[in-house]
Amino acid sequence: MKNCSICKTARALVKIPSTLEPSCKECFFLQLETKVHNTITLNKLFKRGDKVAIAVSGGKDSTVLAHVMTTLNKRYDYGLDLFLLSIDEGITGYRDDSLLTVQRNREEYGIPLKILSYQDLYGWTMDKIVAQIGLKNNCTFCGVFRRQALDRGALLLNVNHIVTGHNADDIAETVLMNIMRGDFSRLSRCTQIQTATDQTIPRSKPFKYIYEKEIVMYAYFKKLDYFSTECIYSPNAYRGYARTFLKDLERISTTSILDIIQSGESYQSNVEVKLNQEVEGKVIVGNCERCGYMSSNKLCKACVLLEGLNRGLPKLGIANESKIRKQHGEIKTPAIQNFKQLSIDREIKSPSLN
Amino acid sequence: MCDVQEEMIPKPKNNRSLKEGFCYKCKTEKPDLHVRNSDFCKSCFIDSTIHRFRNNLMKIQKGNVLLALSGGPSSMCLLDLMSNFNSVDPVNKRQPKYPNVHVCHVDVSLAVPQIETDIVDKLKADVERRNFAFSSVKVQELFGNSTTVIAKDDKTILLDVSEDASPESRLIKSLDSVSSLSSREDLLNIYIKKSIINQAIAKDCNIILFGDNSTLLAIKTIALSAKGRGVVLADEIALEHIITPGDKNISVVKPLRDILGKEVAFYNQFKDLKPFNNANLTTGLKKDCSIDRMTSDFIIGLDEEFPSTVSTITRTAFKIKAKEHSNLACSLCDAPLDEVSKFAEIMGEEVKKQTWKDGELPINHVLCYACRNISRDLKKTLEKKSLSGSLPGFVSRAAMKEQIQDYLIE
Ligand SMILES: [Zn+2]
Ligand SMILES: [Zn+2]
Ligand SMILES: [Zn+2]
Ligand SMILES: [Zn+2]
Repeated sequence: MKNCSICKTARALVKIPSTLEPSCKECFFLQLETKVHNTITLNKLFKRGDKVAIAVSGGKDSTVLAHVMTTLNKRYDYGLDLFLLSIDEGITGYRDDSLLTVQRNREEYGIPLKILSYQDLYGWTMDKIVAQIGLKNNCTFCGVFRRQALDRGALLLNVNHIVTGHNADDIAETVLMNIMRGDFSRLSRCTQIQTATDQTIPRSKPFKYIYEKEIVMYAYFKKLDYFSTECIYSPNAYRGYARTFLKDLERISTTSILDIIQSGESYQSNVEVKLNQEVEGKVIVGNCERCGYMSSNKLCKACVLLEGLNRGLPKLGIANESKIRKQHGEIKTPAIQNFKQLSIDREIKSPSLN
Repeated sequence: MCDVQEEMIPKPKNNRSLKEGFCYKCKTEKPDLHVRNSDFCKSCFIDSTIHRFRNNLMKIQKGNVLLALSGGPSSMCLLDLMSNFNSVDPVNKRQPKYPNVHVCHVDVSLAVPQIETDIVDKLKADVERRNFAFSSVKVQELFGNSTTVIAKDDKTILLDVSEDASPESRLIKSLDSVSSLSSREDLLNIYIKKSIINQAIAKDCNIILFGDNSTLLAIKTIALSAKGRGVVLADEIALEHIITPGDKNISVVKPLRDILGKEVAFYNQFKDLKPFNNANLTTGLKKDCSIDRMTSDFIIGLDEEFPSTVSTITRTAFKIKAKEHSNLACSLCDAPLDEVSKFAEIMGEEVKKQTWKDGELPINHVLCYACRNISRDLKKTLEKKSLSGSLPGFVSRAAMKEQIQDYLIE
């Protein structure tokens, strides 16, 4: 029987993944929570009175995030107003069950919950999209739609901050993937603790330094239930290579994940993307003409993809954006909820929560 | 968590060949090799390699050159390209741009016993045949007159100025005292680089040429990232970067950085060069024995499947800019040092409270992030083997003291 290396008295039950130091259950909880607390305070992520939406999916990361955020908010008296925000992509068998977990979280923590569906926002579920376009490029749709969905949900909830459950493994994997596939602009952004431009709501990753294993261990010992949210529509090939390589690295050195994040921070560009200013060849000119979402083109990415879907030519949306952008005035498709309208609505009435 | 972005798997382009069955360049000769999606004849390929090398060297200022020669394929190719560059133009009879070239080999045979025993003699003969000066230094000479750093615990290191042991035994002890092969590789690489810089100073050279080719730089990009050494990546893969050991200004240049590993192999074959097997610490071991070794296998494998992998990685990495840093440098590897690491604070270390007394140094103030990992590794081994490990300290005690002045309690 080994003793905990932190309190030296209790029986050690786990090894802390980054150091392999033996730890008891309570010390393990405390060190994880303290790392998250330090991440929040040293980066000055929030201020008293902030309304913060926790993006929850029913998966392990966000389930543990909801728990840790509520715990820390009480323990250190952050004075935050917390909300749960969930996106229903409309993937049968993947999201149905996990939404039950989210409902349970609401009851347990007494935090308001908002569920937004792709169906309501865009008129398309991911099931319908995949039925039309097949499994190639479906992740493009999902990624673009989710990004906007979270912003729209945050507006409906009238919050000024979103936190997501991205963990250290996710971030390290993304650093490697972006180097391997040559995406410098994403490489220079992916390790930022917080991302925000003028028009989107700031997003933070309080689990930036927390290993996936630690999150699973935390859920296991705290007896938190979650669903496997490994998307049934396969992830892209390069992420697969990056993931396998990262697992191999970890077998050689337990600190690899943190080491990669540390390196990635040196690759951050110092330039902030500002409106009407050219940054690395891209100019953010303002808003999408159709839906009002922030966009560097006349139509935002979601509207371009929707245009293609609605015309039955989804490939056009991916391969030939400019063509669609040129023609968009001529074709009328049901516009998605106007983003600006959302902003105005929230000024007038308080959001309805389901 | 799926925040998947667009698929961007590089697709091989159509073969560039304007005239079927002939060299892409001259269009008259039969092709001898296929590289970068094109067919080339031998002489056009050699011309293009020489041209790319020349182009890079023309961007560098004049001065005395130290050429680092390990004897492996890339450095042998570098040596040949350099003597070609210096060969006097028969028409114009101009003085070569770099009349003073000193070739330096670092002998690591004490650390890597698999290295061929006659390598130094053969290299010397080859270099002198080309009318360059040659010197060989043993890596352990580095330990001759430097301060030794001893890890005390995972937060503190001690300086040991008593030097009774021989340089040979101190090198072996230093490499043996880290448990992981990745740390050992890092240490040996740092020692080799230090030895070359010392030679450049001794031979009064202000330009150092390294043979890193573009495949090696792609591997380096991933390996440095994986080891937490991203802070030096921009410099490590730059065509030229300036280092300032002591009061000197030395330009570190990598003129082969646009030439693929595969192209180096073709060049050596066509020019009948005979490189030595680059034996290193992982020779003969399994592929997952170290980060460098595993990364190398990974990138070379990926490049076989997606032939533009290496160029995609280097193109991305070349865009990374070195950031403004404080003047403080890591005592071990010379990487820029942040005064107090936010990362260490997040992980719960009380970095601000550490102080130096009686020759004890708080590691957060003298070692960079990645070298702190090595130092922790050192400490683990010490506990197991109950011996004292040592890293050579390369800065003087006074310089160290100046660096951490604010934290001293007199
Ligand atoms: Zn304990
Ligand atoms: Zn739009
Ligand atoms: Zn030819
Ligand atoms: Zn260092």
